[in-house]
Amino acid sequence: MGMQAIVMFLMLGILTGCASNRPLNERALVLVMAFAPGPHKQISVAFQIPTPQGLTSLTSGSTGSGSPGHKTSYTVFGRGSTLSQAFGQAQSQVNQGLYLGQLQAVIFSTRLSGAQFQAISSALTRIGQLDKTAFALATTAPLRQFMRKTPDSTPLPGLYYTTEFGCSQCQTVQLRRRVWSIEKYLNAPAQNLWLPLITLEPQGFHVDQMVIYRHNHAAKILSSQQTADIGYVLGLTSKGAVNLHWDGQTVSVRSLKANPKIRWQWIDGLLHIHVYLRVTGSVEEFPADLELGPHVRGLQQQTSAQLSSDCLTAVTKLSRNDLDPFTIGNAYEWQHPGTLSQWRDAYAHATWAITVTVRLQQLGDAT
Amino acid sequence: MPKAKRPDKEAVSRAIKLARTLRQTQHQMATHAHEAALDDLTSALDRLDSTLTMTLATTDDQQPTRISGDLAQAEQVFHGLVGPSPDVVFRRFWIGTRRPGLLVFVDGLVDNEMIDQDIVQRLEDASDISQTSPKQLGALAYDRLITVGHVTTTSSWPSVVSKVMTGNTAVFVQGLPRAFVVDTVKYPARTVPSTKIEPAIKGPQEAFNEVGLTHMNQLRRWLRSPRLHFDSHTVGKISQTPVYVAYLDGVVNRELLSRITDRVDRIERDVVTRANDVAEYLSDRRLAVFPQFRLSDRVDWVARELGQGKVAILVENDPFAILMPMTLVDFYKTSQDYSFSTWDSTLIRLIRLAGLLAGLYLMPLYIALTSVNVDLMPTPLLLTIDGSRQGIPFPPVVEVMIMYLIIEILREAANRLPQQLGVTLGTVGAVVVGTAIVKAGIVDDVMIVSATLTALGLFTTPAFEMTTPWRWLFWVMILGAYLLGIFGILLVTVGIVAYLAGMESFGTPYLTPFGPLQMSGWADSIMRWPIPLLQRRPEDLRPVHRRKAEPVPTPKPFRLGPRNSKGSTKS
Repeated sequence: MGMQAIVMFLMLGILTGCASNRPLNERALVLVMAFAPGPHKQISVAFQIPTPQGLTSLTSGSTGSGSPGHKTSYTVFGRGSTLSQAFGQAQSQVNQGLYLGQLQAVIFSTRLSGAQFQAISSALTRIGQLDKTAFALATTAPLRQFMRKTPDSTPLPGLYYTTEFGCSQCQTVQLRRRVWSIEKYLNAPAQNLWLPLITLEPQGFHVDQMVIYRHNHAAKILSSQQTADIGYVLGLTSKGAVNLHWDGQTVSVRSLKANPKIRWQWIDGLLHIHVYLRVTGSVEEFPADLELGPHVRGLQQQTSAQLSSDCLTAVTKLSRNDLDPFTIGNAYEWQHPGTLSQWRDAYAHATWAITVTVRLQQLGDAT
Repeated sequence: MPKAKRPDKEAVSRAIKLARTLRQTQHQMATHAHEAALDDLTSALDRLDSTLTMTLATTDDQQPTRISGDLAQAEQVFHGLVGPSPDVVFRRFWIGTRRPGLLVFVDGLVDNEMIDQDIVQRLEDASDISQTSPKQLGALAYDRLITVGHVTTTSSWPSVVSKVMTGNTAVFVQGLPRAFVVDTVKYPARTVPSTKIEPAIKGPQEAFNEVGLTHMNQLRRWLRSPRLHFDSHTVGKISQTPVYVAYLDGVVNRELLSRITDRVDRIERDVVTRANDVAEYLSDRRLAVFPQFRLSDRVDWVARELGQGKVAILVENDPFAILMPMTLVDFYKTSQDYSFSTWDSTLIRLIRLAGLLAGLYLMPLYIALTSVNVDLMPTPLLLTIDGSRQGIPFPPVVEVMIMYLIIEILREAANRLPQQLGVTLGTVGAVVVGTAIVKAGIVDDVMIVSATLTALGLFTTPAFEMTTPWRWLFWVMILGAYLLGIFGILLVTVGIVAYLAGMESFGTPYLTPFGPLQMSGWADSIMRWPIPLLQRRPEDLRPVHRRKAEPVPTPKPFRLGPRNSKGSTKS
C-alpha cells in the first residue's frame, strides 16, 4: 500500500507535465499574430504583445497606469524560410515565452502565396498551445504598418477583435471566422475559403469586406456591397439595408436578414443553381404623409426584386471566376468523386436563379 | 528483588512537619539577608516536601479505611491526603458545650453561610447531644442536620474525602465512628450567559455556563419531560470530572446510546478538564480531518438535537455540550435557521454553500488559471489580472501563500485579543495591511479580492470545528491546482467526496442525506422546508419513533368580514 502511494505520487509528479507550467508573469501574451511574405520567398511573422503600461491601463486603481503617451503594445518580428525559423527569430527577441493560448486574431497578408498560406495554415494546426478559437482575418496592409496601428476604441489593439466579433448580431455581415475553420479548407480544392478583410482607417480598423481564396491564394476581394450580397446567400448578413424609390421619395428598408437555401440540379447537361432567400426586415424612413400599411406589400415586392437582382449579379460574378464560397462543389465532389474538372467547367457556366421572399416585420422600428 | 519497605506514616508526617519548620527557619534567615546561601536549602526543602507528600498520598494501605471517631486522627488523615492545601479548611467547634466536633470543607466550593448558620450554629446550640452516649449521638446529630438539606452518613474515608473535594462538608463528632456529609455545594459560577460563539439574530440566546448541574437545569427547562434522562459518569482518575450523557428516552436509538456510554466509560485519563477531552475519545476515527461531533453552547440547539434523536454529553466545567452523531449537513445548520422563515433560511443556507465553494475554490482557481490553464481564462479577465500583476515579484502560488498566511495571522491575533481590540485589528488588517501590501507590490489587487472572498467564504461555516478541515483541504486544493491545474482541482474534489462518502459518525453516514440518498432528509438540508412539513426525524439516526409531528393540513383561508365584526360586537 505504501509503495503504491509512493508510485502514485511519483507518477503524478512526473507525468503531469507540471514542470513546464509557467506562471502568467513568465509568459508573453501574444494577442495578435500576423503573417506576410518576406524577401526571397521567406515568411515574416509578427507577434503583438501588450506592454506593462498597456496591461495596467486596463485596471483602474492599480499602482501603475498607462499614460496616453506610452505604447500599449509592442511587436516582435521574425523572418525565415520556414515558419519555425521565423518563430525562433521572434522568440529570441523576448525574454519570456511567447504564449499563443490567448491569441485573439491571426492576420494573413493577401500577398502570401498559396504555398506559404498552406504551410502557415498547416503549421498552425500543429501548434498545440495555439488558441484555435482566435479570429482569422486577411489584410492588404503592410505587416509593420498594420501592427503599429492602435484603434481608438480599445486600449489594446488585440482587444479590437473581441469587441468587433464578440456580438454575433451587431455587424451588418457576420464575417467572424475562426482559425480552426481554416483547417477544413486545406487540401480541399472543391471549396473556396473566405476570410474577412481588415483594412486600416484613420481611427483604427474596419471590417466589411471579404476575401475569397482559391488554391490557398487570395483570389478576389469583394467590395462592401458585394460582401453584403454574398452574405445574404451565405446567411451571414443580419443587418442589410436597401434603399428604394417609392412614390417619388426615398424609403429605407433595414435590418434585413436572410435565411438561404441552395438547390442545384442538372438540366440538359447544364448546372442550374437555385437560391431561395427568406428575408425579414423593417421599414424606416417612410414618407410621413403616407400610411404605411397599404404599401407594405408593394415594398416587399420591390425589396425582393432589388435583393434578387443584386445577389444574382454577385453570385454570377463569383461563379464566372470559379469561386465557390457556398461549398456547392464540396457536395458535388462528395457525390461524384474524381470529376472535379467537370464540375469546375459546369460551375463557371452555371445558371443561377434567386427567389427572394421578403417579409417586412416590426414596421417602423428603428434598429 | 527485595521488597521495598513501606514508609511509616507517622515518620513521614513528622518529616513533613520538620520540613515546614525548616521552611519557617529559612524564611527567618532570609529576612536577615542570607538569600544567596539559602537558595540550595530552599530547593532541597521543596523537593523534600513534595516527595514526602506524594509518598504519604501513595501509601493508601497505610491509611485507615474506616473512621475511628478520633478528631485528631481525622485531621491527620485529611492533611496526609490533601497536603498543605490552603483551601481545605479544618474547623473545630463544640457541639453543645462539651463534645468537640470538626468540620472539613473546601473553601470556595461551599456555601459559607449555610455552614455557619445551618451546621455550626445548630450543633453548638444542641446541648442535648453533648450529654448523650456515643450510640445515640449519631441519631441526634443527624436530626439536627437533616434540616439543612441533603445529609448522608458514612464511615468510609475514601467516600468522605471524595465528597469533600466536590463541595460537601464533612462533620466529625468526637467519639462517633461516622461522619456526616452535608450538601453545601455552591460553586463559583457565571450567571447564565448569552451565547457569543454561535450568535443568532432571532430566537433564543441562552448559553450554558460551566456548571454541570446548571446544564441539566437549563435543558430540563427546555424539555420538560420525564423522558429527558441524564446518565451520570465520572471520568478522570484524578480530576473526577462529572460527565452527563443526555438523551430523550423513547426517541434515541438505544444501541447508539449504549455505544456512546460505553465509550465514555472506557475513558482512562488522569485529568479531564474540557468537553473536547471527552469528545476525542468518542470519535470513530481519531485522525479524521472532518469532525464527528459538534460542540455547542446553545441550550436551545442542544434541546433541538436531542429532540431529533441525538445524544448530548455535558461535561462539568465546560460550557460546550458534545452533540453526536453528526453529518456534514448538520454542521451547516444553525439555531436561527429555525427562527426565520423558510425562504430566509433556505437563502442563508445557499449562501453558506456558496461561501464554502468560494472559500475552497477561488484561490485554487486563481492559481490554476494563471499558472497552468491560462488558455481557459477569458482574455479580458486575463489581461486585467496580468495588468494587476505587473511588478509583482512572486508567482501566483507564493502570492496565495503570503495572503493566506496574513489572513490566518490576523484571525489568530483577533481571537487572542479582547473583542473590542479584535474588531480594531480586523479593520487594521483589512484596510491598512491590504492597501499597504498592494502598494508595496507584494501581492496584486485581484489577489486581495480573492483572499478576502476566500476568508469570508470560509467564515460562513456556522460550526467553527468545520472550518478547520476546509482550511487544511484548501492547501491540498492549492497543491492540486498548482501541479495539475483544473484537473488537479477536480482530482482533489473527487478525493474529498470519496473520503466523506467513506466516513461515518457513530454508524451514521457522513454524507447523508445525499449519500446514501434519503429524499426525506433533503427537506432540512440545503433548503429548509416550512416547519409544519418537517414531520420526521432523520432516518440515519434510526430513532425509536421517526415521526416527530403529526401532519396538519394547511388552514383554509380566513377573511375577516362584517359577519365577524357582528360576532365580536355581540361578544
